[in-house]
Amino acid sequence: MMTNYVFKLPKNRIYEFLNSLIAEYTVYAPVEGETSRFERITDACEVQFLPNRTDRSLKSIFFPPEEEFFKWKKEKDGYVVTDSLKPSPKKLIFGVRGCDVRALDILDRYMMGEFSDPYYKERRKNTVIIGMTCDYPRSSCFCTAFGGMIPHHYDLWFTDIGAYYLVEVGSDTGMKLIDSQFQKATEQDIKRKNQRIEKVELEIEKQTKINLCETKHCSQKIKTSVEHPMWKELAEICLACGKCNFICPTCHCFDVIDTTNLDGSEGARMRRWDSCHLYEYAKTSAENFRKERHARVRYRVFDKFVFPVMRYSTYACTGCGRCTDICPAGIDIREILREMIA
Amino acid sequence: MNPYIPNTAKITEIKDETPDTKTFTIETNMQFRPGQFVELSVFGYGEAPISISGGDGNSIDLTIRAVGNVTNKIHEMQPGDVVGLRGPFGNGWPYEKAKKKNLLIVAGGIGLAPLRPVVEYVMQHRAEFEDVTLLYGARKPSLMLFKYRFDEWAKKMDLLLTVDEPEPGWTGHVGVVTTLCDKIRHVANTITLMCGPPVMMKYVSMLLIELGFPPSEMYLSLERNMKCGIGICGHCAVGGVYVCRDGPVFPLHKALRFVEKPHEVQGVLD
Ligand SMILES: Cc1cc2nc3c(=O)[nH]c(=O)nc-3n(C[C@H](O)[C@H](O)[C@H](O)COP(=O)(O)OP(=O)(O)OC[C@H]3O[C@@H](n4cnc5c(N)ncnc54)[C@H](O)[C@@H]3O)c2cc1C
Ligand code: SF4
Ligand code: SF4
Ligand code: FES
Repeated sequence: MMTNYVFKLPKNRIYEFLNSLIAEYTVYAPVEGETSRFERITDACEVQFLPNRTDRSLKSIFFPPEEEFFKWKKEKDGYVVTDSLKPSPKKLIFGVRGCDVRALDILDRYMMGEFSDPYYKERRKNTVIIGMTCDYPRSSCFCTAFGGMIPHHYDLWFTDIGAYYLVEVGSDTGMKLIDSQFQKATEQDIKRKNQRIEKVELEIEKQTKINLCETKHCSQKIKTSVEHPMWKELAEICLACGKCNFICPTCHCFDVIDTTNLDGSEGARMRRWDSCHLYEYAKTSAENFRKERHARVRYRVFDKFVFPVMRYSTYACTGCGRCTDICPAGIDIREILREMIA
Repeated sequence: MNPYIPNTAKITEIKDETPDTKTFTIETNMQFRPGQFVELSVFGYGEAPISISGGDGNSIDLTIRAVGNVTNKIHEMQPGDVVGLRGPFGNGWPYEKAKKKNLLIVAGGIGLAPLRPVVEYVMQHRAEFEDVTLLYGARKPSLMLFKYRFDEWAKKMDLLLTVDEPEPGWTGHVGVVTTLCDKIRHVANTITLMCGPPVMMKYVSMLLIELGFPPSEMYLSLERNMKCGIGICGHCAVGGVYVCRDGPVFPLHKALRFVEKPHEVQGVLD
């Protein structure tokens, strides 16, 4: 780590800097649309400098909603199967928030940890992350419950300190991106950055009132709430629509589907995002193992705060608040947590 | 190697087992442990997890009940037709633990399919075990699998059969599997392997515990919805374990401690 390498970049130089990156990488950055999201940009002027996280996470860059595994074709003596895995270009993602960097760390554990997903791995490798401190939180944000706005891993980290961005270097790759436009940061600059982060984090803490940092302890508490009456109450209002899963930056369940042409001579196999809230999710020919809605509501929460702690020593939630924002029933994950760890 | 890409393989033989179940012999040099399963592809129809019910290094057997997309389609296929295979997946039965001990095998319906490789292992290596009992129940005599092997099996182990509803010609026991449990000769020093419908496993577990079998020596194979077979898609998860990777076979005492109690053991030791 090279956290003691701290620079600053005059704000009016950011476009030049971004265009120099575009020349070398496939660059993704926040863009505004019906919903704000990360998209590939080909000119720095397309970037939206948002005050906080995007509506959509980075997930679909690495794990798209639909993806082809292979094509198959019937031949005289059987089938020919062709892998659809394509080499992925060198990516750089600019303007990532702390919650979404953590989400990638979590997804990595699911997709490239104990088990390995070649499609995810190909897209994920060599990805450069340039993060950015939020100016103020959204009302649903609670990243401070998971360690705050600044994650452990990044290549560069930008914080707005007025006329400059303060730029912290987090890796060798990040260091290589520092060019002559960057100046050495002063003690004063660093102090300003720290004050800025403190102020925003305090705001988040105020709206959150949950501290989950002692992972083992809190997870244990949540684990014992299997029979809590809350699950049935939530099941009364949850629509089982699965939106909270699809929007979540760490949810990674998928279904596998075969397609064919009309005469059945060729086709493909693909995966598609799936959701543990949906009725069919755990159904087999023998039984539906989570037929009751409350069992599915509980499962999603446990699969964020209990099971991943047992398996990967981490929560699978980043406090991004997207599930709270999108839920048509108004279910707020923070209220569930407060209830369980109270 | 890409774990999502199946190898193509040819069906060489098809044997009728029951009106809705057939055993397919498929050409492959796949090595497997008894109790493991494959993801079987019928191209254009999808994939289904199917237990390996036999094999000899040059082929594997899959005993398949027609219930849906993939399984109905393979039932229409003929020798020479080509399917896809991924695997083998899962941990398999810890049958080695029963060496120099008694082995009790309890199967219900199609649940005999994943246990058959253990039974055939016993046939080849009978001297490695003490008492061996196979307790098999089916709804009707006509729904029993591997009937053509029963005479052979009965020479080397206690073969206890039962049906829920008798049919003409059936002279054996009638009643659910648990009604046979008092015929088991040994409780002490016994490893139990169990596979069948959830309710069967639940009542057998309860009864065996009552008879004095320790839960840590009883193993059950769980069936869950599976899409990937490699611990990623999430479908098979129960209480924090992936049945496809960590199972499908679990010792009962562990299954009882899963955070979400599996249906197969709900009510056991409650
Ligand atoms: C580890 C493991 C091992 C297994 N081993 C075996 C095995 O050895 N042999 C075996 O036969 N099965 C086995 N199964 C079960 C088998 O995987 C399922 O039956 C499989 O889902 C069938 O796939 P499918 O595409 O044919 O059915 P799908 O099209 O996926 O249909 C299955 C679902 O649709 C419903 N369905 C669709 N059509 C029908 C219908 N006509 N009648 C009733 N329900 C219907 C079923 O209730 C079920 O919910 C195993 C499962 C697991 C997890
Ligand atoms: S569970 Fe909700 S708050 Fe947590 S990471 Fe997923 S979408 Fe964000
Ligand atoms: S978004 Fe809300 S209503 Fe839809 S499944 Fe999630 S919790 Fe239920
Ligand atoms: S079948 Fe996909 S995780 Fe087990």
